[in-house]
Amino acid sequence: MTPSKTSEPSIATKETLLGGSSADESAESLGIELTDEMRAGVDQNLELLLTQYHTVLKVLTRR
Amino acid sequence: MNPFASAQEISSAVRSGAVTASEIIKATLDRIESLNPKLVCFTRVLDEAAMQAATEIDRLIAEGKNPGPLAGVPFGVKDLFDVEGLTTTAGSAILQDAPPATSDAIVVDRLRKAGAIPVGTLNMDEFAYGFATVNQHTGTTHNPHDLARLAGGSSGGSAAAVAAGLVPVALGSDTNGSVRVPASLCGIFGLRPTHGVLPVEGTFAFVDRLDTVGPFSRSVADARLAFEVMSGASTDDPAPAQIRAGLLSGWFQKKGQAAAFDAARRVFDMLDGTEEVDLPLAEAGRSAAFLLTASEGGHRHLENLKKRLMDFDAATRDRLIAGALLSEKVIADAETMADRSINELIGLLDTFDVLIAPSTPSVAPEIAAGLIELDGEFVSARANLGLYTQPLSLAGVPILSVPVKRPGQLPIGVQLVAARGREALLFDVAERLSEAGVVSADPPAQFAEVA
Repeated sequence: MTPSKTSEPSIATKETLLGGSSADESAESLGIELTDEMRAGVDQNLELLLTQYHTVLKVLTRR
Repeated sequence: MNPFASAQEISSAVRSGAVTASEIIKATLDRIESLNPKLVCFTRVLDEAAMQAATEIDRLIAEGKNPGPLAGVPFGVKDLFDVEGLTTTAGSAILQDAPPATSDAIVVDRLRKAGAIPVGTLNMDEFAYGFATVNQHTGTTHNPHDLARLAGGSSGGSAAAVAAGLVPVALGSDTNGSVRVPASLCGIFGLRPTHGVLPVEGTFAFVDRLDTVGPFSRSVADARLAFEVMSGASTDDPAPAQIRAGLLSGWFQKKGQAAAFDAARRVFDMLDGTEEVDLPLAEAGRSAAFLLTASEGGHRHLENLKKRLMDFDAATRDRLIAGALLSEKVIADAETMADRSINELIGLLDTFDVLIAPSTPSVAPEIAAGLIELDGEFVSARANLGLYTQPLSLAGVPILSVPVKRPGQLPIGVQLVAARGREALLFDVAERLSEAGVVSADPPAQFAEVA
């Protein structure tokens, strides 16, 4: 495989994904109150979405 | 009649008077009652209404009238299609007390007007968000080829019902692969039509830019007939003798099992394909579709997430909440990526008549584990079975999943992808593959014996 000419994408974090807020703050702003059980499930899904976002950023920041 | 008779055979027998529609529907209802406890594919059965409709078909025939090309053909609908008089639940407890639909979804109405008879609603992942048909409220649909395995989703009830010979045709919806994935795992044909060709009015929406509805069947001819009836379009447009077929490489030859890649290559070889072609943006396109789906799905259900949080299936709820939290910047980036990915695929379809890729990365996973192995790593089947369908959904092109013949082995499907509006080409190519014995929807052993 030919190495792609990329710049390292800025590493997004979960906060980046949520526009700078925490999951609890973002959920609260939408009127959703997370329980402990939900927080774990939501967090797991945010990890998955973050992986997807990294994949997108990697291509969009390619020179 | 043989429970694995095609829609065409049933209609022909009913119209000729060899069998009555009432006899067909009675036998169908009996078979559903007997086998559904094992499969968990039907969520509601329309005994009385179906028998009434059959009586009406028989009356028309007795009067010398033509009830239509699907006379007396039983069909099922994923429980997100409106059926007049029934509540559309979309697989959710939240909607179970909603008012009943006042009319049929357009495609259900068109099938009914062609003489087909709805016999029930079919199981699905809650709000169509998943590739497993594991539903906290309505149960898990079992794969007719191995009851310990998943049927795939989100239209798993539809696929299992057709594969097990309960109905010859069923309707599903495909946003990111929800027709193609269960078609692959259950060993039948499943069509995702060109986006917008079959009307979605009267169905419960998920992601507007991606939502399509399409048929499952055990033969190409039945898929073609159902599509023609629902679209009002003829597919009598023969494909060229020499098909320009390309095998998708790169993303579509990574992570999955050998069975998936072997199946795609067999189809490619049969079509005398000569070129393997990469879609370099496939992985990022899939990620973009994943993000856009999460966000739109989350926002669609925001009101219920605020008011009825605990009534959701927990797995769906947490996915929807996470999606609703995504920032505008993330969505804007995903949109940009989606556009680039669409252009790449559309461009490739200028050069090729048909592109070929596996429908799923593996055969049906075990229900107990709920996991698939990708590149040595075990990941959620519910989220990842659409690995190869999701990148192709954004472009709105028609895709037919065909079951590759694998005697004695679990089924797996292959996607045939064409340019927008070229369903006729897909049906022709699938017929060639059927005639050559490369694809076939063989009855599952334990259900073939139950006549």
